Amino acid sequence: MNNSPKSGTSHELAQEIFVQGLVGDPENSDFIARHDRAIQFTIEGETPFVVDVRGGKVEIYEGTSNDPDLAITANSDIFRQVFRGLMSPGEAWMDDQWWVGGAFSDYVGTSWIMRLIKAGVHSRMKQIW
Amino acid sequence: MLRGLEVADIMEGVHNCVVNCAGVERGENVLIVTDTVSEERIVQALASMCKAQGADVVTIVMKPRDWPMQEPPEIVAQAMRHADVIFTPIYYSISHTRASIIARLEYGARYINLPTLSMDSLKSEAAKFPAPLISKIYDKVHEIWGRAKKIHITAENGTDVSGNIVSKFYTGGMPHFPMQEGEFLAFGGAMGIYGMWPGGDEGDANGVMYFDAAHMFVGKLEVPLKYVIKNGRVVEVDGGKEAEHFRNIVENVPNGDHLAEWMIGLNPKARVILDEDVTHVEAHRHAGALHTAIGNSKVLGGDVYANVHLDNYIIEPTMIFDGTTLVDKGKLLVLDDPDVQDMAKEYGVSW
Repeated sequence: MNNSPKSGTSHELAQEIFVQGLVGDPENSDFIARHDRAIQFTIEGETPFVVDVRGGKVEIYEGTSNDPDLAITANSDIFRQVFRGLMSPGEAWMDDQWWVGGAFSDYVGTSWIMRLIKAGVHSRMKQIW
Repeated sequence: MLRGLEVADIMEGVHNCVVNCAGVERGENVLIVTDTVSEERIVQALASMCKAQGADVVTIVMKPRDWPMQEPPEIVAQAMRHADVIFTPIYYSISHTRASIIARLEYGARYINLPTLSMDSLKSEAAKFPAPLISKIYDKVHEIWGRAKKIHITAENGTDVSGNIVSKFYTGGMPHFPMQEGEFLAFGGAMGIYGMWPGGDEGDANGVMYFDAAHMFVGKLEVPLKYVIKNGRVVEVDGGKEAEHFRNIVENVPNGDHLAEWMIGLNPKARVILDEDVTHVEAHRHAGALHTAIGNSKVLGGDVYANVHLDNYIIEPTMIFDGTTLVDKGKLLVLDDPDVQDMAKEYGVSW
């Protein structure tokens, strides 16, 4: 397990949004703690990474999980647009821009991760501006 | 005739839907989307039950959609994004549309679809069926289906189709009770389904299916509708007068040929009613019956979007998972499981 992000990667952007933005904003604490899920991110051309949200804490590490609760597959351009708040995660999914697995049996997790991303982007924007 | 008292007879079913299943609570924003041809007394009963729970209720009445899963007007789509709970007592469903999926998955709404729902359905034993007991049956089905790698479906009508189950992401289909954020429930006077997206990553479903009833057509088909399926796509449609309708969709609607779901009913009290409406939602929930959709699988764990989702129906399938029979000629075998039977006794339910 490697916790150090690489500069300019989707992994680094995920760190910024989930750790600095989402966790760094006390307003999100109840929302983060509502569920526990491991989300596998597979971004085209990059090292896969896992966002593990457990007990109200967020850990991000490179590699793959043997049994993720959810899986997100995207190319890096779409990932960046969603994680910079330029594209809605739900609309991206509906338009086949990225794939979010787990939707059949885990609507709760799918809905939650989409809203976690939006909350993280919103909080990061507040911190920056 | 004191017609108004009929509402009293549906209130137990409405309570089951609003309180036990949807879990509507004080202070929540509830949106009811209906149309001008749906049963007004059902809308009134749903709104009343939500109000009694302490929710704030807004009702939108729109023109009926022209076909199932046609997108609602934008003003409806926007309103759906601001609701904690959405009920759609409606003629043609909008449950698998972009508007509903965005409202659920990106805004966290709980969505209860009630298409072509009749007063009779809401009076039925199926509508009153205990939600925890359905969850128990679901868990028992999941122990077999959710862990299997191969599915084989046959029926005496000539159906013989099989496929691989390539991911846990592609099986399931029922919400928690009470429902949680982002979840979906079709309450067609009954609840209880389990299924999968047979397309999978490899789109490997192959075989032939013959259907006893078809979406948008009232009653049992005189000549079974036939699909020939290759690699998760319908490549040939045959049958009676209804076949042309489905052939047109398969050949002309983008992704209309996509095999979007195999799904069984779990509710032993749900009735096989085919001659009252075009959607057959209660029949779909009849324990052991199979419905199969073509078109959109986007809301079902799949990754194929189509502007159509049409369910066709087999009354008595046999379904085998890795050699274990789950459904035998329409009989859902887990209904005999001791855990299920014990819980049924607790609730005073038998079948």
